[in-house]
Amino acid sequence: MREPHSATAAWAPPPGFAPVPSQVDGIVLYAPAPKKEAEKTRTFKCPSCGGITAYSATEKRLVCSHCGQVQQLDAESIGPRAAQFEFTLETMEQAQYGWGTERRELACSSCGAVVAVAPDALTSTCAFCGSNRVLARDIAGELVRPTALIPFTVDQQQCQAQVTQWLGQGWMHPPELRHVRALQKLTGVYLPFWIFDADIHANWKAEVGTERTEHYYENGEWKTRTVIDWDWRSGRVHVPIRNHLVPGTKQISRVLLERAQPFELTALVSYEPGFLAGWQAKNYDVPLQKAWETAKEEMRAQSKAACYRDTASSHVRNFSMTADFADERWRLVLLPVYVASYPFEDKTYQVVVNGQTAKVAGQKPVAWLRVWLAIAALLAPGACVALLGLLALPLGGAGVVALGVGGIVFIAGLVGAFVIFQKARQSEEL
Amino acid sequence: MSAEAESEPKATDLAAVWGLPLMAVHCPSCDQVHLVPEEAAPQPCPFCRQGPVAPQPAYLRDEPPEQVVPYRITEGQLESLFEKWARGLWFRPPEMEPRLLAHRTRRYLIPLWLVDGQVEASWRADVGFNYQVVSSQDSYSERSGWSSQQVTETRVRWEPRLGYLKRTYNNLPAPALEDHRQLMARLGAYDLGVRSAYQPEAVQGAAVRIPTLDPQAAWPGAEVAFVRAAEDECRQAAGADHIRDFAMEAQYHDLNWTQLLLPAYVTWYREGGRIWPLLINGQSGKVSGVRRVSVQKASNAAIVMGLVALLILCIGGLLALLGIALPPAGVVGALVMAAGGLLALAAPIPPIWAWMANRRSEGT
Repeated sequence: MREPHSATAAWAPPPGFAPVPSQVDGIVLYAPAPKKEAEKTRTFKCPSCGGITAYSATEKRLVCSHCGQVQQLDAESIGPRAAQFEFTLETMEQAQYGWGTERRELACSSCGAVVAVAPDALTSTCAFCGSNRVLARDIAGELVRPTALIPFTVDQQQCQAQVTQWLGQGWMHPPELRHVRALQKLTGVYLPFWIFDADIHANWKAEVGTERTEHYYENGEWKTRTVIDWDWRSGRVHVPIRNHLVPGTKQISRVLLERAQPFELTALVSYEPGFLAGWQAKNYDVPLQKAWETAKEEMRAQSKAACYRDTASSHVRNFSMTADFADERWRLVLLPVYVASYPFEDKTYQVVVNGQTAKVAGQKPVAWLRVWLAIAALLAPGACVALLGLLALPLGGAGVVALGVGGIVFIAGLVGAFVIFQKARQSEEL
Repeated sequence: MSAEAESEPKATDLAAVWGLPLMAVHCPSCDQVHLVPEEAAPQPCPFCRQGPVAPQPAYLRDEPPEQVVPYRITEGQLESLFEKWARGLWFRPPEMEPRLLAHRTRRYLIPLWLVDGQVEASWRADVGFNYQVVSSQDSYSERSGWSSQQVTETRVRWEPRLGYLKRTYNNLPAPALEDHRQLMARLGAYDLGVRSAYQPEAVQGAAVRIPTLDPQAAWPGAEVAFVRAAEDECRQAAGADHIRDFAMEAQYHDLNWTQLLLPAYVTWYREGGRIWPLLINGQSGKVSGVRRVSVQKASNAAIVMGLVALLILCIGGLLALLGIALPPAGVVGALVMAAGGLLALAAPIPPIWAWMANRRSEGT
């Protein structure tokens, strides 16, 4: 490959073009100059006093922590139009790298979480597990840069109030929860999310059953029964999937992140490092390929459900289908989340708050004594009535009625008890 | 000697320049001028064969063509080429016999300019790079669950490029005839990489078309060739797989024009009172010409069919009469008459088909 020819002094390229190597001698080549955003780093200092500025969720601008001066951020509101990428073989090479601002990583030696923070941040506590064993290290290179983000709109005070209120809710939790002090460590983190789009063209084939009422003669009388007629059918369904979110981190339970959704993606703005000033931002630890596999599994399930709906029958057997994926695209975005963990009775519980809508999702310890008492209260009436009925059976009809009523009430209580138990179990687990 | 007489162009001494006794002849029918051997004149036009040609003075360059593309098809191979070309044609005209066509064939040389020059230009274009996209086709069945097959699709990513070039291009072809494009459409492409220096033997016994476009008039065609060459090199320079919307503002220096003769054969056959010429690429063997159907032969076939139909009708009629005495013979007679009627109806088909086929072939 040869360098551009030197005999071109008389001719000048238009602005915005830069020379690129030519493979033919005597031909000078210019291409659009690459954007240098990814290369340069920025620090956020107040133009008036030189103090540290940070993005304010309430002001929606950069605010100086020293003199209070505000600076507007120059980001384009792009919503779901955020730049998308195809699944090329060189996807990783094409993506832009770096965060566009000087950041360093904090790695938790307890849970392994890695968080990018501003160089002046002195976070010493892991936002994910509450551990103080956090080590600063150089930021990992070659990361795909996010193309868009949703800025925080909920500030820490609002978030604190929401979480305190949420902790105090529910009779099955210890009342001491509302006084948990560790929530002072509520941390705003931009979490990486992969967003996928795809068009699935699914062809299905199955035996579909149609119900038919049949009259037949048996034992000297006419009776009716329902029979199912089976016949082979096929169909074609187009399933457009847009904005399918897959978390880019495993450090926070996907269950909690799903409970904290939805995010309003129309609020997406183009990636501007200023939004990260004063906030933490998590690097993705779920690579694109892995996230795509997860998304594809969910998309397959959606396309299968769409094919079943297309059969227009509840009786389907020998079902088979093909799903042709087309126009698959991906984006990496940062979504705002507050993360906190709090210790309670020797255990650590995680809380996630949607930084856009203030929706709270988290683990809550359960006062199991209260739960078991409630379950006992639900089961006791039915059991007692049934027992009485059993004892009264020798007396005849009244005993049978009591046994029947008791049985029904017991079963209803059993269902209620099951629901309460499930709810209690879910609120503790991730 | 007066000034007018001095400025009057002098006819080219063909024998001295080309090394052979040639004469220029003009055909009033196709309006083309050819160089033919002096001993061959006067004859019908070597190209259209429509009428007698008239000798005229030739005003040519003071040098013969520099190069010739040698013949790859020998005269001995022509008969089989004509046989292949005429194969499958019904009611073939009597004069379209391969042996006869080969016998009438004569060599025919077509001029072409080759231009050398240096180009200095600023250019811009969109260049396309192939890239592969990974997709998948998944299938599901109740027995085996999901399975996935990866599909790789090639797409093109277009990017703008511009720049400057200073390159020298040699032997770029430019038409020397106004009807060059039509001739090449009939003859197909030539491999210009195989060339030899001009020798008088190359035009021995051949008819040579005289260029109708001098270098100045041929320049638009040459410029297209320069642009195409530059376009391809710019694509290579960018390492791209495709290029589109190429535009350049160029200056051309040190232009040098040379003439090349392309090898062809010409022959003809007569049908329907007209002469139909054929052109044959002397390098690839491609035969080009109208495949006429003989209307006379088709009409003869129609007459034969009509006579046979008449005969069958007569036999049928006799059998029908016999049916008065012997009823089954009447039935057979009716059937025979029906067959004769159908044949009589089909009789006009051959001339109608021939007429339509000829109209179609004239259209092409």
